[in-house]
Amino acid sequence: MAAVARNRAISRLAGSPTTWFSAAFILALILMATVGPYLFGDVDPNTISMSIMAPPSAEFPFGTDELGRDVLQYIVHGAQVSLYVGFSAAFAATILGGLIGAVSGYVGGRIDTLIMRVTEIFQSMPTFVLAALIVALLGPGNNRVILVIALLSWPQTARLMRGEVLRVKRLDFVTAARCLGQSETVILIKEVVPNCLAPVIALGTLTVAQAILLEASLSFFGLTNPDTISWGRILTSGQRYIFQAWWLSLFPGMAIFLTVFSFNVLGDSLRQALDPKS
Amino acid sequence: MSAADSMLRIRDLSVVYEIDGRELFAVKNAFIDLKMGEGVGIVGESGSGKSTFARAMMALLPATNARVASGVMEIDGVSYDMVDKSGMARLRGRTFAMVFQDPLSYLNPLMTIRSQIVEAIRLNDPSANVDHRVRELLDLVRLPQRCLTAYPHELSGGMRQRVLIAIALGCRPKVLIADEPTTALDVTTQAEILALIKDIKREIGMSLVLISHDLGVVSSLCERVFVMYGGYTIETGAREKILSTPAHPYTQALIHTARAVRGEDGRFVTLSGDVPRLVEAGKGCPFAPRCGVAMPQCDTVLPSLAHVNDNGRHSARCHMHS
Amino acid sequence: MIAVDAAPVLELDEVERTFVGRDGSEVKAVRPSRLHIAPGEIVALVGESGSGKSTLAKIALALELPDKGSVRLEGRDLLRLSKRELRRRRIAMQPVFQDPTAAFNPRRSIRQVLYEAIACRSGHTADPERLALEILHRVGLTPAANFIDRYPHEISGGQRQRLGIARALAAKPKIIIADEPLSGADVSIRGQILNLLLDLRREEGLSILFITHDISIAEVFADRVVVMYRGMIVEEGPASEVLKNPAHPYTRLLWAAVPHIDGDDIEAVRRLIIARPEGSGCPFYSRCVSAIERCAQEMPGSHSLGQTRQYRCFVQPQNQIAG
Repeated sequence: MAAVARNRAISRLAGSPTTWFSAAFILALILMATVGPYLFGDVDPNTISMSIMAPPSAEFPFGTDELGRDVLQYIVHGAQVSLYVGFSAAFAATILGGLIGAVSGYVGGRIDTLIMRVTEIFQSMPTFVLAALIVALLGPGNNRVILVIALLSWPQTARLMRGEVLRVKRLDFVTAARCLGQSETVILIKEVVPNCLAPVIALGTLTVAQAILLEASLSFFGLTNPDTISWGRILTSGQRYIFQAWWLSLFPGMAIFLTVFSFNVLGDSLRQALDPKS
Repeated sequence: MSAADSMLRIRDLSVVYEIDGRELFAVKNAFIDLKMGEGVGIVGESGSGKSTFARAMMALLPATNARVASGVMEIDGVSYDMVDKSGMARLRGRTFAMVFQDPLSYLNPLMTIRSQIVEAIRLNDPSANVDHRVRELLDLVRLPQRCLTAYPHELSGGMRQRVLIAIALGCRPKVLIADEPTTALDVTTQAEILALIKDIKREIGMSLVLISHDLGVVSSLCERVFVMYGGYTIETGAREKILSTPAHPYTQALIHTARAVRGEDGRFVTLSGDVPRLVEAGKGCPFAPRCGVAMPQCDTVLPSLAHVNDNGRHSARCHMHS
Repeated sequence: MIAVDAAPVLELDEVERTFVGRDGSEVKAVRPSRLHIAPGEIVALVGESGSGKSTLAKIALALELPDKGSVRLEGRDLLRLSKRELRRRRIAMQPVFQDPTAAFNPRRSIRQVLYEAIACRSGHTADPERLALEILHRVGLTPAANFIDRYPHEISGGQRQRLGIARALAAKPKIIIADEPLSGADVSIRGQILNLLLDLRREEGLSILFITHDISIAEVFADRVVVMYRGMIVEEGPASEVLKNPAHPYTRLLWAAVPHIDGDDIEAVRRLIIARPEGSGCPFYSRCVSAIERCAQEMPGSHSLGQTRQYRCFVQPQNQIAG
């Protein structure tokens, strides 16, 4: 019967064509980032060719840049970085925010007040400026970027989790478990948290999109490692030639836009599909 | 009852819900008639179709998947096709007004009580002397003047229900439809509201259609009763006849439950099984699966409505009487 | 059936609870109250919204701590136990809820719900499946094998309420504390649930604390009735006697307000409904038709009526205004 419920969730998800497109796009992106390089031959994206700033053609579908590098190869390899940073940061933020939010909501009292003030402080800070500042101080590197994004993203997950826990902990089945002699820790883990996860998972998907966007922005301003290839970095080089070589800006821009859009759509659909009340 | 003395008649009302591509009947061949100044009660449990019936009268069915499949309404001798939703909607206000179970969700939280009552008055009669009319309505529902400047959340549940009644009466309807008007209230507040509705009915000669699951509530306000089950009107008659000599096994069981009759073993007399949800069209009596005296034909043939006695004013839809 | 002389299963003595609002305002949810329940006894706790009946029930379940007073379960003061010991002991009291939908974790099958409850009773159970099927059968969810692997949201509301009772039973309690268990059920289902509770009392000797707003159910179902108004127990005694002949004006009002199907009660209840400004004494003063001057200033004490009845009113029952 759980399978039935799950199938219902999946069939609801599958209902809208936008969701289909988004899911398919993300799947294609993941495939491209993981097995793509092997499929198309493991070409070093930094390979320089004689075609400098060539417009899209059969040989270079997305054109080349000022050093004659293949933009398509750049985007394929850039997907690895974007997805790695996006997923890792979102995962870390969700785990951290989920834990903190669950404890905050369940324990309540002063601990709750304190944690909520902390999240408010975090949320009132300009995310990008802070991220830029920290990266500039600590130095670039994917893992540092992940850490910074996670540290800046957990508060919204924590607040969502807390709200859900506050709702669920009042329900009668929690009281029933208490009257069966369960300990508070067991109740929180077994009864409360599983019923709070759906919107948190959905938010996690949105966090992936935010993280990808943040990483691209940091790269665009040259705050990440110049040796790693990323979509934001291609955009930076592209902006100098925007009137001569539009493809340098358009394709990486489209890659970022479509990825963020897809994760947003998927997150929204997930939230609806996982909601048992809908 | 002849057509002449009833101000309102509804015949053959069927309401269909479309769910997962299937057509399910919430109300099937249901009917009602109502005299001027009379109170009738529609009694049933959840899923009986009683609320859907009321909403069809008000053309307030949820628009997406519900529709009136058939039904004719006669008001003072004029016929209306109930399938025509916009035609029915025009009867709202002047002919029918409705009060609901949960007054708070039907009141605008951002408007004072006065402006909400005024809105109802203006809707019906733009040239009305508003101040005079508001005072009149307030007296009618026994609310003090100071309530006028209050917002809905500042009032108690009973006062909110009085406000909702005042708003409903603001349009001077011929018929007040009350859908479980006291279910959400405490029992002493319920008694106050029932007493109030009874007074209003007498004072302004208003007709009342009261929808309730509670036979006690219905019998305190209504002269005649329509019992619904599984979407059908299964029994109708004068209150006294229904209570003293119920003809349908379901009505009998309802009355036993309401009186909390206990058998010799000390156990409550009760019905087995569950209330049916939306029914698929056709086949036998909807009550057959729970009926203690069901016959083989009950499962296959829908009983027709038959006169029981009381000069044809008491009828039931049961094979035992056909 | 009721062992009157046996030691009570549950004893609440002088419990009181005051809630303090954010603005510092105080609401006396429960004024000093005493409630004892004997083994196998059915006690109906009757009151309207705001009467404090649900708070008193939570105090009984040790879910809410009283500001003062003691809660004893089988002679042990629950408020003095360690957390661990409290968790173990409280299994002897099981709740049944008003809304059977919220009463179950939507992610658990009926099997998991029952196994969890069975595991909580003291002692190891060799065959939880047999026991779970037996309990389902016991509450009338038959054939039990058809129910055990379904989910609570897949069965009807009436069946869910039975399942709620089944879960309580699985913990092998001494007392069931049911908060408005009929409110969510259809009229024709109510008798089924009451019968089930009556059977459990007869066969297992369970005590039942039945919290309800409906005094007419208390009359037919309970051995003893306890009437609460704004945190105060205004009257208690054997159900049949109290409701045949109420000794408190509020009980009279409650009883008269029930719309009975036989007879036009509205006229009778009209005479009992009034409103006047609050006093500083009896909480019912502002709505009491029988009130005398004293009621406005003083809190009435408890008076006995015969061996078994108690009421809190300055006006003697024969001088109160009847409906």
